[in-house]
Amino acid sequence: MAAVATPIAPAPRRLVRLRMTGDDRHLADGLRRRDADTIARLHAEYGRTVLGFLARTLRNRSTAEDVFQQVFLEAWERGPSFDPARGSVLTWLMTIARSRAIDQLRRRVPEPRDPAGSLALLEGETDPGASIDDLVEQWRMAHLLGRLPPEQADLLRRRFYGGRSQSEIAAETGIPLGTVKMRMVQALARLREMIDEEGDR
Amino acid sequence: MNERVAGYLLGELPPEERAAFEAELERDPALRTEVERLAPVVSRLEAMEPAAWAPPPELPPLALPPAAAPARERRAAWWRRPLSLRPLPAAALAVVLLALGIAAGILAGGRADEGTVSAGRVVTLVPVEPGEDDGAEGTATLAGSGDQATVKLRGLPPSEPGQFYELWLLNTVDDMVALGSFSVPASGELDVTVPLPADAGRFAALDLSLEPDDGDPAHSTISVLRAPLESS
Repeated sequence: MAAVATPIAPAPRRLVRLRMTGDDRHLADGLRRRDADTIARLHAEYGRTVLGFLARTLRNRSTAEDVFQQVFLEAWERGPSFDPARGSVLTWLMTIARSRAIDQLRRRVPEPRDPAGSLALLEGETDPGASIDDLVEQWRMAHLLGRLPPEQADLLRRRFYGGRSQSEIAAETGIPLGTVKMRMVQALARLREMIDEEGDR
Repeated sequence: MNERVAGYLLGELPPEERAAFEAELERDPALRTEVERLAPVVSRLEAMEPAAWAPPPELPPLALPPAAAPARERRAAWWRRPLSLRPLPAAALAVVLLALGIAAGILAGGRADEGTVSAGRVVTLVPVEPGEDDGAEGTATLAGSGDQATVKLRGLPPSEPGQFYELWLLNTVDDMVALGSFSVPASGELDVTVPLPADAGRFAALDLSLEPDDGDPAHSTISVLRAPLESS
């Protein structure tokens, strides 16, 4: 597998503005009012992605859960300043999570525990955030995969996680090869659309 | 949408088909655009490590602050506000307190660097929430050497079983140092001398909190009295 993802240029600003509708604005309204239901919704909808990223980055579930609480508390505190025109809720939350993860890793550096994990993230890079940025992108992609229709998500999982070719997937699932190929390209196209929607607004 | 695009991007086209597809790419701008749009998506998916494909972890319940209510329009100066501690800073605080305790033991003879608070300076502790603990007050004299404070407390509610009071040097919820804990007798009056293991001049306030005897070394967030500390 490639170690570094190819950057995806954000979609043209005008195009994305047209797509930026209801949901994030609704969440932004709730955040501005510090509506408890909105935070609960963020927790339910984005919590697993944030926690998965933190657990991987910090390599310690307990620490990840502590930082997770910090992230959502910060989201609560900074909610009124969230601007959906500047980025999606997912991007906003992952930016907070990234910052808190870096804080935690910097705090942890002098400790002798877990040298292969967190230290490598810091010491292997001149920019401490570089590797974390890759992880942020990976978990953003994981979140977007969860929004795909199940049959498309399953197809991508089999291909990119399971390492199966389209022919092998067709054989495994009994789905005609032509359908697999069409679903594959539809899934990639839908993911690209979601990336554009999530991109720099 | 051209299904051969996926085969091309996934490297699954046989050599002859691949060559033909690439020739078509040269001639067909729309097809080229589609490939260019989807190629980075394939790269991103290929870059995902197994953990990112793993089933999402179980979510811990969310611990929102007790003050999960609309913010007040006009907030008091921060050092007059009750504290809101986050779990990790609380845990980090325990580590800091342990380290300070060890440092205090090692440096029992005093510190090498002097604080910036004036010698013998007296500060006044007042209730954090106006209207609460009416009559409670205190003064703290920061000793000339900078390594101890003598605190006189008056009008405090006496300590109840399972409670004690604790003094803190306070900057932010992430930056505070415990100075010592004690009980207040029925008279509500107490004079106590506590060491200053950190430079008081670095902190914004002296804080008196009411603590439950629950073994948690973190600040309870129940501040009773507070005095601003400003470097002089």
